[in-house]
Amino acid sequence: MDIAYIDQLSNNGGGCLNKASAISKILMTVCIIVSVILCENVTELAVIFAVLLLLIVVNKMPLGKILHIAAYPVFFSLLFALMRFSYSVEMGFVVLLKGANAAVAMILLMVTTPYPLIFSFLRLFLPGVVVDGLLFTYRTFFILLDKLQKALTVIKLRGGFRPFNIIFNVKNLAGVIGVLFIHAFDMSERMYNIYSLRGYEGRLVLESKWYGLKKWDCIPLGIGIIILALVVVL
Amino acid sequence: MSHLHLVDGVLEPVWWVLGYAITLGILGIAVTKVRKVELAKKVPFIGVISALMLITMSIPLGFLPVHLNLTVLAGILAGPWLGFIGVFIVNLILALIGHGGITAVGLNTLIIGVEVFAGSFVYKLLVNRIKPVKASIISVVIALLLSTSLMLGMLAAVNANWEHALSHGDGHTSILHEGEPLEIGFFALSGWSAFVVILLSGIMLEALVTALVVRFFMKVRPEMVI
Repeated sequence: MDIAYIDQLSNNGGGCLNKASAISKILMTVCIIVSVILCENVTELAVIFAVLLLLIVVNKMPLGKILHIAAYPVFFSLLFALMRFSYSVEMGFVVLLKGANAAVAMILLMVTTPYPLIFSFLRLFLPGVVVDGLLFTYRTFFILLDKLQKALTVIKLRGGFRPFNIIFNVKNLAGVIGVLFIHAFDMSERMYNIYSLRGYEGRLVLESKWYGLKKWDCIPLGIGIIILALVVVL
Repeated sequence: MSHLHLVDGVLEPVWWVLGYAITLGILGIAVTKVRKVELAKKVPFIGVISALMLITMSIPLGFLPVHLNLTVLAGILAGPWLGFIGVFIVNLILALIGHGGITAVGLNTLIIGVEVFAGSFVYKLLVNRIKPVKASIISVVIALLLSTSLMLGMLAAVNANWEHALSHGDGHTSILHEGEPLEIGFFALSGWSAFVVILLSGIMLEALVTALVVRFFMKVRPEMVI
């Protein structure tokens, strides 16, 4: 998974989309996904894909890396498309482009918007427990991933990994997961104690700048609205 | 173990809206249940459980075309309600980074949520009658068979192909079509037989790892699993 890389891009990118507010980018993503759901025309879907690629380039984002991240969902849409190809070539490409557009739009949102802003927006629709859970998950993920990678390296260095010996490897892997779980549980208690000291009473206070509009917002808002309008009208 | 790796625009709106409606309903009940206990204390725990599920999904398993979820283990350790919230969080994060469509989050949560509920329920039922390691194996097998059945039923209902729903290890490869051969070492399998082999290998692996982790807990922290 590329969560760490996505996080790095969203916090350090300096493109026009990074400067726009979270709400305008979320609205653009919603418009694109709704367009993708409504649209059944291969040309229109191809135009949306071209616009998304252009946005990535204009925003000075690594096009190759973003397409690599998007390859996973596109792979699954490709498999679904293969079935549709038996009916018509156009139907196959429609499915393929739908998958590609939705994935690239979602990734574009994530690589240009820091996660606390997206999660604070989600607080409008989801229970506070879930949003706080999202934030704790994101925070804990990187810590535990680092621990896991170190543990797996240690296992390999000490001869605990044997290629083609699944039982042996799974046994050692289970030990690592067990240690990781215990460490994680202790960490959650420590985390709660620390947050309690800092005044946490069941609700994390989040950055609330997600709705403040700026001059840069006209780009994502304009693109989103134009795409949706064209799909609906045409 | 089961995922609907479907992209946006493939599912009919009625299905994903229904999936979201049911999931949010259960989520509402889960949040109410959690509020009855110490909410503030439980939230970091939900985060930890979700992060562990995400991490175990990313562990490479060599040539096996499946990945671990450890949802049953999460259900055993955290209980069904906290586990369900964790499953929703995991699916939402996966969708945000493009691993499955945002519209499939509701249905995915329902499918994997069944693993959490069934797994923790069966485990609780058995743990006082048989050894915890055996109870964990039976729980995993029952929970995964149930969730896979639900997944296949949903796919049949939404008229999608069952082959798209298999989860696919770190490499996320090799989905089959009827008649196309799957090469696993010296074997060549096709269609439903390949599906059954992948399904069984996934269930066996998940059961084995869960049992070994439960055995580990029995040695160092038995109170966590009894």
